[in-house]
Amino acid sequence: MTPRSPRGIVVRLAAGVAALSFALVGCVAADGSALAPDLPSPEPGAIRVVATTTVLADLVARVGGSLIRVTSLVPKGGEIHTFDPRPATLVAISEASLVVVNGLGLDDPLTDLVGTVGSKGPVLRLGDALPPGSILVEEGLANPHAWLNVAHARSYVAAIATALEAILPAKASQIATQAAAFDARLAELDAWTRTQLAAVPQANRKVIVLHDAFPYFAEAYGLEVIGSVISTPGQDPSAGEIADLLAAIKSSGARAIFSEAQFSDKLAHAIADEARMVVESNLYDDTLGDAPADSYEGLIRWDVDRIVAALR
Amino acid sequence: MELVVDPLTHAFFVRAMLAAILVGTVCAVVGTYVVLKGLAFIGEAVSHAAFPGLVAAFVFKVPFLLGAGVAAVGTALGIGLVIRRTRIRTDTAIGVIFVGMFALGLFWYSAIKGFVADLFSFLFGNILAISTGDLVSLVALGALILVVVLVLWKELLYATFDPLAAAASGLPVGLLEYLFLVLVALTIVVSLQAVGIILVVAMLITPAATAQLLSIHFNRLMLLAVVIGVGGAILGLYASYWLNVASGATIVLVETAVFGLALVLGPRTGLASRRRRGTSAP
Repeated sequence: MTPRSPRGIVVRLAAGVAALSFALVGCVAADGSALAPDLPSPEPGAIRVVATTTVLADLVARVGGSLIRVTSLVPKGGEIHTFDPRPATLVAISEASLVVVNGLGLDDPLTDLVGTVGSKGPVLRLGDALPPGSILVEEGLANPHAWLNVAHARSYVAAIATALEAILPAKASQIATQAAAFDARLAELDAWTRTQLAAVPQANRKVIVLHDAFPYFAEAYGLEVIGSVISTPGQDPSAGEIADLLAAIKSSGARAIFSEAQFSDKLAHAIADEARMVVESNLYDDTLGDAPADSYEGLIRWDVDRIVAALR
Repeated sequence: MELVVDPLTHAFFVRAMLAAILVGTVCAVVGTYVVLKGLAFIGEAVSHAAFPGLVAAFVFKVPFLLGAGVAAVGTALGIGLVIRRTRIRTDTAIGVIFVGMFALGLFWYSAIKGFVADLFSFLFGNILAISTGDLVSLVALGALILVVVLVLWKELLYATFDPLAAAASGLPVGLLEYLFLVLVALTIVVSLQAVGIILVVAMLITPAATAQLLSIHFNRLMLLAVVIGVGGAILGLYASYWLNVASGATIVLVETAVFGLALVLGPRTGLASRRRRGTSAP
């Protein structure tokens, strides 16, 4: 055995590890912003705002315009339930002048994380801004996906505008103007969605969803959700639940099964094959997609086109 | 310099740093015994067995540390009991019990309606999301473990390396064995939040295993393990900040890389020293 001092070994180890880390720094690319390219870029002195999802981030960015720099905690295409925050995410939280969350059980772990890390500004819970009585509750749990009813998204926008005006009082009129312009576009989007869905024959309006993300959409635009395949993302249905679902499909004559792009569509196809249904597995709910579904408006138009095509 | 100081302006990073130092120290100290006793698989088992405890903590609304602690300690003692009282081999007993416990956790998790506290945060942990309250309880538990090891230093050492002689000299070897399992379980619980169920065993054994390549003297080995464990955790934490990647995985990768370097450069196993031996031979 060659005698060597442990100190010498430690020094050489440290040098080697340092070299390795610098090599690694070179090969990991920085992640870009997930938001739509048509958004104005933040002006110097823009305040930092954090939203939990890309959908909420887009709504916030439309209202705040160039006055704010928005970051979504869950990246585009990311799954909110299986999300592991990275260091830059936590830096964004700690520097945020406003944190926008949905609430209603969608992003509770993330809201807890914001509480733990601590942000500069307040937390705005958009679910609290919905008109009284409009929150859909099933088995004692609120369904969080309210923004898929465009009318509710307009409530969100109003709440975002109020919060931003309180933080930037000197810019209140600019924020109000931007919010009003965006709200007008959402009113138009709501009317367009209604027209599109009106083309679906009454007999074809029964649907199955993979995950229970569409009750607000269905309520607003006249679909009937017969059942969902998984109750909570990450929890696979039992054999008995699948049998019950197949029975419900048979007795209702449901026509299509809808699933979101970020989930595996294996289960949806298995059920659809057995019940002879159409599968549309490329919808978006809490995350934006690539263009043209890279903004809230784009997402709604994308989903509506596909839903109408599947049911016609 | 900015690279080093800048992250420290964020309170969450400072908390993570303190947790990394704590976890690095406690894991290295207990891990030294684990590695020398050849019980690495126990660490794996206990970490997975903590899962139903985390689910129970969520259901009964008690602190996660308590749920994980009860499940981990219970499993460790259960494994000890099966090993000592039956003819089943150690690895078999561990395999049966830990997968059973993990399945219990998954079963329970799937049975809770609307459970959105994410599975992934249990499996992978996040040292950056440690609150001040968490940190206080982690420090208390970590200090308890270190104090027990210090107080029972001689007894643990004796019972670890020469259990027969220790028993003959009147030491309660059986009791020490159970105590040791409890220490391992608590060490895992302290580290869970930092790196999660899947990676935690690396924190426990990798620094000690690296130290084992570099020294054969027990005290020096443990000291080296602590230096490697703490240094690796700090460097890994910084690297994850600079690269914006998952902290737990980065810490484990850094410690694994140090192990790899020790393997190549170490005085006894190292390829470098072997070459030197080869050339100096007559």
